[in-house]
Amino acid sequence: MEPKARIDNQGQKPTARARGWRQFIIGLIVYVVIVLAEGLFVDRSGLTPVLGVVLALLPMTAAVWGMLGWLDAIRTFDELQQKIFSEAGLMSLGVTAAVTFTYGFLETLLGAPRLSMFVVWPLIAASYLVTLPLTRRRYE
Amino acid sequence: MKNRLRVLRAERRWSQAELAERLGVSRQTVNAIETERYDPSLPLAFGIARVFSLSIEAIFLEGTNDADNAASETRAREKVAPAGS
Repeated sequence: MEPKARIDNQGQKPTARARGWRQFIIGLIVYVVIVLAEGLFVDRSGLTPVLGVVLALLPMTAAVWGMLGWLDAIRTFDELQQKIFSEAGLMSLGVTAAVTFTYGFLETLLGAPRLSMFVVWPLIAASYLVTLPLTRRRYE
Repeated sequence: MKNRLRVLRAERRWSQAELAERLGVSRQTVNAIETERYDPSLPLAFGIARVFSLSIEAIFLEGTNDADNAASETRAREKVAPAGS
């Protein structure tokens, strides 16, 4: 009989999942380190345009690498877990769209302070923390 | 979609976790299928049928109303234990 792959209580293959999460966390840490290092040690006034573009893209290579790890981890989930993660992701994108559009109207009509585009990602992440358990509850 | 997963699992005295391990899915997935909150994909339905040594139709019952389900359930029972046996 063919040996069964070890499955944990989430229906996941622990080794592949752990590798994916590890890549995700390392990617985010490297991203933060590069952003902080560039902010602290790089003199922007002395940059050539090419070097400026390279330094601007450098943190994102770490972030994209980390996100690939996140995808690898999610692909080890069983079909229901993948569905839950996908639904929660779509809901969080919807929430983010609603919040950012609403705030955009407030900016235009009421002169609310302009917000950086950098708030969008934390908003997606924060709403995901809410939509994930809500979506999970639908299947319990 | 209605199914007989809970009954079949109970007949074999398997826990949800045990069945989940046999199927390579999470316990939550087994629970969601049993409570009919989630319909499995075709590959997983085949996997369930293989684990119970039954056909898919003997586990998952077609139809959306009670009359359809009753007829479907009767057919499924006949497949598991043919009449007169």
